[in-house]
Formats: sequence, structure tokens, C-alpha cells
Amino acid sequence: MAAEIILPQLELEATEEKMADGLKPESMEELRTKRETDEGLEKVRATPSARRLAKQHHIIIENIVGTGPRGRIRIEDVQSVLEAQPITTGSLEPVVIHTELEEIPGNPENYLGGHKPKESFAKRVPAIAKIMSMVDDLDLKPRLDTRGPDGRVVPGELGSIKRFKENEDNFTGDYGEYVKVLPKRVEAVAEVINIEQTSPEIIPNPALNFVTFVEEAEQMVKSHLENAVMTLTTEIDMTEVKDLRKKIAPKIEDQTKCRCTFTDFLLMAVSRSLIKHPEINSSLSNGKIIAHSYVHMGLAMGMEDGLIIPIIKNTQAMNFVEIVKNRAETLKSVKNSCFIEEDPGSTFTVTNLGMVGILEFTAIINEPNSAILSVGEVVSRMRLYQGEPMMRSVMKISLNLDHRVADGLTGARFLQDVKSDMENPSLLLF
Amino acid sequence: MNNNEIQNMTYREAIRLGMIEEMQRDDNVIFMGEDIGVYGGAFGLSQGMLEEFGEERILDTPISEAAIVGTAVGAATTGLRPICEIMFMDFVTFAMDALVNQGAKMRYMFGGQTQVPMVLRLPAGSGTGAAAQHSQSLEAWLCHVPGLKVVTPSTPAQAKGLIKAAIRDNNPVCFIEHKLLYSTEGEVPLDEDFIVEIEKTMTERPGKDVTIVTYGTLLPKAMEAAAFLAEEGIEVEILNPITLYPMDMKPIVDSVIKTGRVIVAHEAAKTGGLGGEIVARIAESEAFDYLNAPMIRLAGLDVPIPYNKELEAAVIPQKSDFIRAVYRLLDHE
Repeated sequence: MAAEIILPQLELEATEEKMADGLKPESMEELRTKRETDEGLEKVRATPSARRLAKQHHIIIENIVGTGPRGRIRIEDVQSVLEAQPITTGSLEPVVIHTELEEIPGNPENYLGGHKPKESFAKRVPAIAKIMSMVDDLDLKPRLDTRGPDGRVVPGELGSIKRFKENEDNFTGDYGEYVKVLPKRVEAVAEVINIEQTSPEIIPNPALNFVTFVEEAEQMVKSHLENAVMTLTTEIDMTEVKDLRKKIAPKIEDQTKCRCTFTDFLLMAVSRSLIKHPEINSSLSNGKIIAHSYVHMGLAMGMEDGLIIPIIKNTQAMNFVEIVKNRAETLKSVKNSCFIEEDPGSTFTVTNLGMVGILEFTAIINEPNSAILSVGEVVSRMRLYQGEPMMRSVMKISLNLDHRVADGLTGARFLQDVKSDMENPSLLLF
Repeated sequence: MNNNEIQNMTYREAIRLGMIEEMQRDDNVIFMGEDIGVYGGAFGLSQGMLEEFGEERILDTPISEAAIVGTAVGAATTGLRPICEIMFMDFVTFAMDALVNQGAKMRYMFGGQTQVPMVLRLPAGSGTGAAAQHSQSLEAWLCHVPGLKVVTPSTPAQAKGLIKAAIRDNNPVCFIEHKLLYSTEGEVPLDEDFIVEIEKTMTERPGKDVTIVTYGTLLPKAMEAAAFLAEEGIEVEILNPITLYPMDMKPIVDSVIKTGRVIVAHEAAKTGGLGGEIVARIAESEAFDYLNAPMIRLAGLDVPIPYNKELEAAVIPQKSDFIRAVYRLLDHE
């Protein structure tokens, strides 16, 4: 299952906004004036490479200021627009990025008060139009054009298109049948788990003979109904992470040009823990459990037009600085496009609603993953620390786990490892 | 017989060595041209060959290019492998009917029942003060005729490898040699089996900022310009399409994808020159989407080559033209 889900968001209003252009208003004005005065410039002067890059990142090239001869837009101009995209732009960011602890809403030390949406240069191409065009390409339109609540194709369709293509041959029944045989499946717990060495070793389980293809709208319902979900919650003392981050952030920023965030520490700890507990890092696909020896980390992000889950590949092989860099770049590239073109298939997902003041929550498992980690807000609380009552920064994380794949004890040990790493964060740097 | 030795020799000696080796290897190879026997060639290229191979195989011809090429086409169809020397490429005009309407067409018109394994050696290019009728670079004409292969080496090793490949080829091959390069020296493998395949583009210098595609006498100038620019930190990649037709475009396309900027340069006049063809092929290829700047052609001016040394130099792209063009592509101007 190399498909990634794009779950539909509650609010399905298609935005009229346009894609990122990264322009300051005055330069835009200048540009217009210039175009009007220069005859024949209704068309944009741009090099083919600049056009290609802009197209790739869904940037409207007309909005870029060219610095080449006679205002020609060069590839460097497009690149500078891409770099100018602030990482926090645009979306409700589910991971803590560009955020000092003091700025997190709900924190008693917060000077800024509630969540302030930052002013954004980025605008998005109408997502629906984009997806419709993709649907046209795939020639699957008749199958999909009834998906949204009022008949529109919703952003979430994308994942199912890809999944459909992969599972076309395997899909044997409709959703109705699927529900009927559900209890049997829940009983069936996979017995053996092997860890793949060079290539994934697939363990067939005849009892789990189902296909994972579902239409997108049913995706979450299915996941919710079908998985034997259990939830484990623990609290992590973030004080040391906070202190360490303050110390190393300037250096890392200097080195990578990216902000180092709490999420980076968490991704590091989770990646390490997943390698120790491969059951948590497995996929249930076509009745087979595939335990992965690598971690493709899905990072849930709420965007205006839906939830999307960009993937950072092979985080198990990265050191801390690489995690910072890859996380920042991945998010940046997501900001600049309204869907992910590259779709390698996550093995685990982390979702964070801490920055909107959620203390703890349990998310729905992002199929074909077997578990999802929900991250809450970092808050200051009175805690007993080495026998003394002290103010500590704490954060709650919850693991939702498919019981067919791993049991509570495995999940608990996984969380224990994450917690222990997070509370001794210096070790994460090595 | 394998010989791993490498010897320093001139471009002129390399061509001569290539011809001699092939004539020793294959008795069907004959050599015809004006003043190539007793006199030893207008550029001294065939000295000693008459003594070695005799009048049967080294044929001094009357001053008629039409006769030389016409004879050669006929001889080639009977199974000989003639090499013709046209003293100056400019005089290929006299031989055009035999070459274009006969030599290039026969294999096609007779459904492959006959082959025309001949080589036309064509000394081309300016820089010798030989003026308008003895200085032209007419490769674009030849490339326009399907059925002819056109090759043009720039170093002694390429010259030896290509003349041997041309003689062994079963089609008419136009071997364009550059008069200014005759005295340039370089290392040449003495191995008798050393050949340079036809339809190959050589990377003469690796780089990442700008691609220069050039051949013939402009190659040394481009190399000098690249050395100058390297001191400023600009890395120029130089590609040499030693087979002009059929041209191996892949290295060129790959290079343009890498650098995003390209200069195509030749000595021949710009209008209707081969540079237009190369640029058009780049524009048609996937490299188009990677272009960071308009493609530039550096070529001879659209005038006959002047006799006066200063004017002659002004007509042909020089080292400084390459440097300026590179600056222009990098927006340094």
C-alpha cells in the first residue's frame, strides 16, 4: 500500500484563493504599472526553467517580479519566492513550528494570548479545480464525481484515486458486504510478525482476507469501525527539551536555515522507538501484516481545504539536524502546493493539535498505518520533581493502536521509550 | 596487432597515419586527389604515400573535382573504398552532383543492393589569409543531404580514429578537416584498431554553469575562454559533436539540462548554419524546460571571409566572444 490518505476536512468550502506568490503589494503594483506601460508585456517574460519550477510548485508566474534583462523572470526569482514562503504561512499548523513555548496559546506565560492567524502571502489554487483536472487525467471521473456532500469532488478523493488504481484487481465487494463480515475480521488477530530485512516480508493471514480499498468518504468511518482501536496516554516532562532547544536552536538554525522545534525532538524519539517496536510501525494490507524496518513518518497537517499528511522518509536513518531540515523542507513544500505529488506511503503518523490549545485527544488511525500518535499542548503544571513541587512544562501524548496488530503492552513499551527519550533529550542529538 | 603505445604527433600526421594503416589493412582502399602523389598533397599530408602504395592506389587526378568524386562514387559501387582529397572544401561545389545526386542516393534508390563506401577529405576553415574562395566552412550543406555522413575531428587522436572509422564505413562520409588545426599536436594511440565511432559527441571539458557546443577550429578558442572563466569560478562545459550528421544529441541535451544555459558556436556563417539545427534540437528536447536563458549562437558573420587578417578575425568568433556570451548568459553584463 503505497497510497497516502488525504482525509476530507469538516469544512468543505472550496476557497477562491490563489496559490503562493510571495509578493509584496508594492512590488505587485510596480509590476502592473510596468506591464501596462510596456507594450506587448501582457505576456510574461520568463525562462523555460522558471516556468517549469513555478508550475511544479503551483506558483502563478505572472505574480513574480523578474530581475533578468527587461524584467525577465529567471529561475532564481522563482526560487527566491519559494524561499520567502514563511514556514508558518497559511495553514493551521498542527506541529509546533516557529513557536516559542511562550507563544503557545493557553500557556500562562503566553504574552500574546490566543491563536493569531499570521498574515499570509500564500494563496492556494482552487483545490477542487486542481483535483478535477487530475481526475480528468486518470479518467476516473464518473466513479468519483458524487463524492462530496453536494456532489463535488472533495480534496480527499486524491488518495482513493491512487488506491483505486493499486487495488483495482483486489477489490471484490462493496462497502455493504464489508460491514457484514466485519466482526469476523476483528476477531482475527495476526499471529506472527516478522521484520523485513532487505525487502518487506509479507505474512499472509487467511482470516484477514479483505481489501483496504474504500471510497474516500468512507475512509474514516471504515478506519474507525474496523480497527480494534485502543488508546494509551502518557504525560511527558518537556522541561529539558525546552531548555535544550533554547541552547541548540541558534546553532541549528545557522547550520540548516531552519527553525528547530519540539516536533523535531518528538519525531526523533518516535523514530527510534518505532525501530525498537516494529509492530507499531507496521501496515495492515490485504490481510497481511507488514512490519517495516524503516520509518516513513506521516505528519498530519490541517489545511484550509482538508487534512493532508506529508511524509518524511527514512527518519530512522536521520540525525537530529537532518530531521530538522527534512521536516522544515517537507512542510515548506506542502505549503507551496495543495496536494502531495510524491506518495511513498507512511508507516506511522504523528498529529498535533497542541497549538490550538488541545490538551489531549485521540486521532483516527491513518490507514494503512497501525497506529497514530496524537500530541497535545505543552503546558506549565505543578508537578513533583525530585520530591519537590515545581512548575514543569508537560505535554500529553496519546497512542491509538490497532489491537489486531499489537497489544497494549507493546504500545505501552513504545510510549515508555518515547517518554524516556524525550525526558533525556540530550541523547537524541547523538 | 595490438600496440598500446601512445605517440605525440600533429593532426596532419594523425590523418596520414590513419589512412596508411587502413591502406595496409585493406587493399581495396585507394586514394585520389589533386597533387597528392608526386607533390605529396597541397598541405603535405600524403608525403611518401605514393612510394609506399604505388600509382595503382595513389591516384594524381586532373584538376576536376567532379571527375574525382564521380570516379570515386563509381569505384565505390564496384567494391573499392576510395578516399578523395578535395584540396579546399570550397571546391566541393564542383563535385556536388556526383556526391548529392549519385553517391548519397544510390544505397536508397537501389534498395540496399549497392553501397558507396567512400570518404571525402575536405580541408575547411579560415584563418590562413586565403580569402573568400579558399576559407569556407560548408558543413551545413552536406548535413542537409540524407545519405551523407559528416564528421569533423578537432584533435589528432580524434582525427586518426575518425578517418579510420570513415574508411571502414559503408556509406559516403565527408571528413572535414581544419587547416588551422593541421599543426596542432596531441597524443595519438598507435593501436591499429583504435577507431573513434561515428555518431559520437565528446565532452572536452566538464562544467556546470554554461554548456558550449562547438567543433573544429573554435574548439581551442572555447577551451581558452573556459580556462579564463574558470579563474573567475565559472565552470563551462564544452561538448564537441565530432560527428555533425547524424549527431549524437544525448550528451548535449543532458548537459543543457544540467547547466540550463547553452552557446552553440561554429565558424560557418550563422544563417542556415548547423548551429540553428543544434539549437532547434535542444528546443525540441526535454532540455527546453531547463533553460535558464535564451540559447546563443556564436557563428561567422554572414559575409564572405575577407583576405585582410584583421577583418578575417573580426568575422569569426574569438575567445573574447565566448567570454562575453558566457557573461551574457549569466546576466553579468
